[in-house]
Amino acid sequence: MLLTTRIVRDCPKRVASAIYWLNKKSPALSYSTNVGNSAIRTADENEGRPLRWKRVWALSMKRKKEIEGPDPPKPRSTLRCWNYKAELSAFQCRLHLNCSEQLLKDAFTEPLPDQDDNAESLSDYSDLQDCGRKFADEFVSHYISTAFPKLPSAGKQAVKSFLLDESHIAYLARNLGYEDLLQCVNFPPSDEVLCCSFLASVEAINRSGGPVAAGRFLLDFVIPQLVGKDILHDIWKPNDPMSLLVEELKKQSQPLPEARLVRQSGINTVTPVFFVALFSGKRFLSESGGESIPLAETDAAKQALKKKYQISINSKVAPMGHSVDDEFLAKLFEPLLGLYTENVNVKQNKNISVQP
Amino acid sequence: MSGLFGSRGFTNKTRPSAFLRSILQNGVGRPVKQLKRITLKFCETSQHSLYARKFVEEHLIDFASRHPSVVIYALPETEAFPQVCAEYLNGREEICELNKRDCDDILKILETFADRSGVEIVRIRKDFHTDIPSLQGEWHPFLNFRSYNIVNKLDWTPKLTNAWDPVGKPWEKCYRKHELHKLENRPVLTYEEKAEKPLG
Repeated sequence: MLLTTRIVRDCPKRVASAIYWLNKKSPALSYSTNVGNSAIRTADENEGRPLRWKRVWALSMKRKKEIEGPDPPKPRSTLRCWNYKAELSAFQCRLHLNCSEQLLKDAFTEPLPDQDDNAESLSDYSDLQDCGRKFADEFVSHYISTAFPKLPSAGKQAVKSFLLDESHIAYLARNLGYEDLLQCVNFPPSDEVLCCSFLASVEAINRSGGPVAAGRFLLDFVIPQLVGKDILHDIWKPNDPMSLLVEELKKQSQPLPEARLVRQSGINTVTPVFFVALFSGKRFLSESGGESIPLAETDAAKQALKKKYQISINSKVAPMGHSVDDEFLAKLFEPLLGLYTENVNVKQNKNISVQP
Repeated sequence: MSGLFGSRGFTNKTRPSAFLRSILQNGVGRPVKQLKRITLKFCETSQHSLYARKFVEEHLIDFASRHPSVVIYALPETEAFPQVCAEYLNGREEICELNKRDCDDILKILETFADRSGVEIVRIRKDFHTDIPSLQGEWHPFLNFRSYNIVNKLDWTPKLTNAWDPVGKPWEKCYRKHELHKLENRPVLTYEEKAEKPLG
């Protein structure tokens, strides 16, 4: 034993590593404290710098990896260490949920493709996701009509389909840790599966905690997708804003919009600027600039629409998070509960028409 | 060290950098802790894992109770160097070697992991981010000129000109308004006469 320690300390690295391997292979020899020395490392630990006598092999393995490409992704539950129960409870804690474990497990199980309708022994998200989809649809449409009362139905529909779009919800689910817990048929799970799983979890929360809890879940995760997005320019993108403006003014029996060229600069250059202003009768509607006159006119129409529908930057932001006050919550949850809650002070506003 | 954009560079321009961002508008709704799980790997007997073992025995349970949304796995492996692997909600993993670190350092490292989002640490170009840079509207050169001439309607007809037509009075723009009379009787000189004349 003493001999080994002296050899290990005094001799060059490769001999020392050979002795280390010898010692590892024959457990009869007892280890000295120096054998666990960080100066002596195996090839696995020498990342990118293999032992000299292994260099050719290591280079060919590296080249093989380059040719074959990266390994296909594996589900996290098959790697290293995994405790499903602990992961589920951590998931609930992370998202501040109070949901029954069985319902959540069902929400995370994808139904098998070839399953008879009679043999419904395996519980999966199929019926949960149907109900969840309906609930999310209703809640989101109700939120939009409460938050943006002046938007026309086409705009409301566009915002709702943006918020509940499959790829957007799948992105949400991926970044909230659904992919690890999901028990899916094919890995990696497709957007559709993740979306179904998310909506099934919404229904699971609804069944465990009530519609208010599920509504708050949607309010905290699905609706903040609106943050930083302009409804007219990013989400709705109407094809012909001028015709929409004409319709709006006709409804309010006001004179039709007239466009006037107000400013222009650099017409004969590569970067011209034209400012077009819209007037209804003698009343100024909006003004905007663009690279060409039709573009400027279209943009001016969009600005006028934003003013009309009250979705411009200066108008009231859609309430979410901290800006959600009791009054708005009462308006939002009243059709779900069917009554005003006792703790909330609500101004009696008879002009509200609440649509379930 | 390799970042998102490849190997290490030597200047700020060549090293990776990013703008400030948060994951999924995290603070708007309920706050979600971005750390998913921590895997603590250490050896049961070796010297290098001494502090890691001490941490697991004394401080780990306390840490776990303070962060109930983080799953903690403690993996004792023979001859494994102590290391902690933190996994985040956006899919990234961060590994930190705990060799030659004592209990306080290990606790600090874990606390740092718990507070972080999973975004890679690179030079942040700006300390702020806003989707609405201007509330009252950005300045543009026409902002303060409020007089319009809107008598004429928008003229959509394309104005065609023959490129070969002479452009009448080409030098008008080069003269000040009160000096335009100098253009009226301009002498037409030949090349030799121009060469003899003084400049200016």
